[in-house]
Amino acid sequence: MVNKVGLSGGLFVLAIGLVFFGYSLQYPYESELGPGSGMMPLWLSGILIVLALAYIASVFKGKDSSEKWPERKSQLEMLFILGSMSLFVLLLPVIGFNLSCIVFLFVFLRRNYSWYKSLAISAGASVFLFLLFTEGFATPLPVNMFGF
Amino acid sequence: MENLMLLLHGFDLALTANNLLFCLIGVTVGQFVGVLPGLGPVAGTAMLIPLTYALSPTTAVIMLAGIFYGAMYGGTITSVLINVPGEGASVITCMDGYQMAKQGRGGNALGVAAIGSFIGGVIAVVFLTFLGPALAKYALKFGPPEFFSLMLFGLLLLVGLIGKSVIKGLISAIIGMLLALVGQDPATGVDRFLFGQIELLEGIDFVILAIGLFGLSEILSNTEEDMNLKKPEKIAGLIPPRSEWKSCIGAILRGTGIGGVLGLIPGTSASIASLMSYSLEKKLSDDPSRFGKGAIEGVAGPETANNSYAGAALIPLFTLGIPTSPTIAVLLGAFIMHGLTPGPLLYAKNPDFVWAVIASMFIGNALLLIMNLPMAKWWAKIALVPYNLLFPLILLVCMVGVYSVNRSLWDVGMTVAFGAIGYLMKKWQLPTAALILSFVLGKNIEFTLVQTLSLSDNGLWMLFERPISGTLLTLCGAILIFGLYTTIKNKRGALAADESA
Repeated sequence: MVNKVGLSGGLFVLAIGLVFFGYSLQYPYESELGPGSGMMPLWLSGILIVLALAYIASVFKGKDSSEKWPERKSQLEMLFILGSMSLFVLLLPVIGFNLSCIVFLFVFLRRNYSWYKSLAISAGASVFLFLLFTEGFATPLPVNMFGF
Repeated sequence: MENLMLLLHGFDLALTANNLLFCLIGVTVGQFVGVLPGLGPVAGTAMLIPLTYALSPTTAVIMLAGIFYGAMYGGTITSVLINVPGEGASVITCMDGYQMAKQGRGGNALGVAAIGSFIGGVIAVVFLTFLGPALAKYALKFGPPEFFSLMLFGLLLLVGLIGKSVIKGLISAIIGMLLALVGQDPATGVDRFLFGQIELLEGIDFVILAIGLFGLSEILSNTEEDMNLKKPEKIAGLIPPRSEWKSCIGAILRGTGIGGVLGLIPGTSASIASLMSYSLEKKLSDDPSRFGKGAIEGVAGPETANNSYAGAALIPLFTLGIPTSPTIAVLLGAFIMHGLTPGPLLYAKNPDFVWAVIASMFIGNALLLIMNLPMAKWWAKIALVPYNLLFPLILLVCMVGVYSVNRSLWDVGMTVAFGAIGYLMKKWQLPTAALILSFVLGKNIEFTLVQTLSLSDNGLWMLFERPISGTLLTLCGAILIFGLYTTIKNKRGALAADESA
């Protein structure tokens, strides 16, 4: 039985190797100074392809040590985390930093805390971070039409 | 004598109110990172880098170095009181530390760990004070071939020692180097691997990669763990009884030596130092059966070794610009972002910076001793802050930190993507440590190779014609053969299983 996790890893590495190898061919191998901008990436991606094939071969021989995929509960939790982060990225330019932060924290905290506790912590943390970055580190953060 | 005068000048700079404040913040955050399970020193240091942009390079590195060695202290507390290591280097401390706590000797364990950590940390910084300038002076004789071979040697040592397979180590290292080549080639001006994205013209920002691969991926991995901790054991009497002093002092001195030597070798880690110290103490003991049942040397030795390692690991960074471990690679990234080039010229070009950071480490270790001896009880309570409250806040700090670097949402999106890739790499057992190290060194490796080939009349042979470079490359070959042999024969052992700190 082939370890599917290991196989996916091998194919992922192979794909990276092939993409970089293909792009490397577009850059000059030599230049007036000697080596060109394509030399190093061409060799590196070439070696990567060979290593990826060795990795895939070890999977088929049953010698790969990749771990198992997580259980469904963990998978959903991870999707929730990545989804919430993506939502934050999408909301930030639209509703500003403070409201995006409050939404982001609230969806996480509400699962374990009462709505008023979740809201209070979310709002407090958002305002603290906003002031820390804008006032403390002089880094402007995106704001909405109301200025926050 | 000259070094001593420079160190005194360093104290003068480190003791300014601003530097002192950020040293305190650094060691406190480090202690916090060490105490919290699921957040290692690599992730902690990487996440805090964006917050240092507004600071001067000296203040920034004082703070970031504080996080690194502070984490070594903090990891002990939860190991001893809850049997949960806060970071990788404290795993072995659980063996005897927790047993001591159950026997009502938790205070003794924490006391000897704090004292040992302080002694180990301070002696390592003394080494840095006196050995560093001498090594830097010697390294000034190095040319591009020597630096190329040295960087390759450091990278291959890491790849050779980390993980279950040297093939996977090499894969990670090569991916890291390829990612480092994204953006404009500084030598020829050619744009490489932009994939149609103008945002990649400047290359992939180090912060994005480090926070994604270490910070976010660690949080994703934690979804598979039970992060609820039990109540800590009670603490009483921090100073060990007089009868145990002799064995403690021996273990502390040996731990200092082990950590100090391993810190100089690329590819090792604080975890390896503590593991080796534990094995040595067990071997030297009159009654090895005491180990695992509350032997105080089993806490004193490893805890000293990991702190001694943390100080000594800065020597190759300061003098040669070579990071020996992932956390040091993150520090190297911070150096570069603040316009500093670690290496032999650092002592000559930025003496104020070097000596202020070294002096701050003496101060930081003293602060940590105070924090750990009378305040250990309170730190243990911090570990009980619910994880479900903590991790959304950590995620938010990561995202805002990344955004603040270039004020770019593209960067935040890339961090999320690298977080997912970092998690998958853990599943595939591709060591992320090798990726980050080669990413940091990648551009310099290419640059020194191009310089060497440009200078050489007979191609790559120049690398073997020069004695230092030739020796290092021969060693590289030996490491590769050793790594491949142990991979094929499945003899990688316990040392290969580690990739932390």
